[in-house]
Amino acid sequence: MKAWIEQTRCIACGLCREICPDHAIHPKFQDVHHRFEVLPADCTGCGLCLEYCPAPGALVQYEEVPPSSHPA
Amino acid sequence: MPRPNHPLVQEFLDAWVYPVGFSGAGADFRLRMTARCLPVWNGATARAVKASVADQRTAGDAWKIERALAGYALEGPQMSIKQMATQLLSVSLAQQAEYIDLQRMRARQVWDEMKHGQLNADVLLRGGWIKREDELMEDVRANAQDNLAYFGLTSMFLHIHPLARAAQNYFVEAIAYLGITAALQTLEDPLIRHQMRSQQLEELMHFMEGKYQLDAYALTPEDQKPIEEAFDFLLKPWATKMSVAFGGREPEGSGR
Repeated sequence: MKAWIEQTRCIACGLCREICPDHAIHPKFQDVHHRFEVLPADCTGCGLCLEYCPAPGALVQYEEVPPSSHPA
Repeated sequence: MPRPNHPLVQEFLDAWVYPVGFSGAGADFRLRMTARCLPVWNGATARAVKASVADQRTAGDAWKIERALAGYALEGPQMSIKQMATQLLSVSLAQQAEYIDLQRMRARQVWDEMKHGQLNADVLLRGGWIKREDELMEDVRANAQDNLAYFGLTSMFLHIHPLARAAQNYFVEAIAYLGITAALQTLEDPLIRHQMRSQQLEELMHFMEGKYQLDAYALTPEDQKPIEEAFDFLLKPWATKMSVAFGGREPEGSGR
């Protein structure tokens, strides 16, 4: 399992970044809005970020294919 | 005859400094202070361009690490908390109603400064130069800086007044915005650009907060006095040489 951030629901609070024990969550690369993203290579799938995320639906877990890769 | 402004400074003046939302004593006072800031803004911008050109030509990663550590020292948790907490506490409970809009700006700026610290840490994390942000707590380069004028308005400034922050917002945040703008024009490194992209607009926002404070609040000589004293402090070359503690040279003949 890996975590993934739905950018349209993320409120950019950064709480996930602070509590991630693996430093897998970072400010989104070169994003002027300072939202966050999960680096899959560093995510161990512990799910701690989901427990603390205050924005419903912003953090989700996936097995193999990130939700962004799913057809609309 | 006055020297022409650096092109980036002139662009900044035309877009953000000279257009006024208010007229009157506050705006007049601000433009008088602007004339005092201009030599420093021009010099800082020219130095930022020069440093960026030099960094762009430098091979290796050392300059990126140095930039990120220095950025973390300027805006990491240590400085963010000290700087902004001091300014929030400069307004007593009895004065809160009078300055509630300024207090709200300052409270939000705590988070902005934290974000900038995050971005500098992110350069080091993504670059693989640190494994965890905690490691920065052990590195003096990430927690100390030699700019006494900057630090002075945070924890050491002797004349704390609810409006003194306006001078820091106006003078220092303009330098931050101009420096980042200069760097983004030159530097191509994606990690360094990552660090600067969101910060650039937030520095501009903090400058505009200073502009608003001056235009709207610095209306009487009594209001202007503490702000002008803060400008005096910031514009005085308190630290023209690097402190020995941060790698500066011992003065000759000091016998050490």
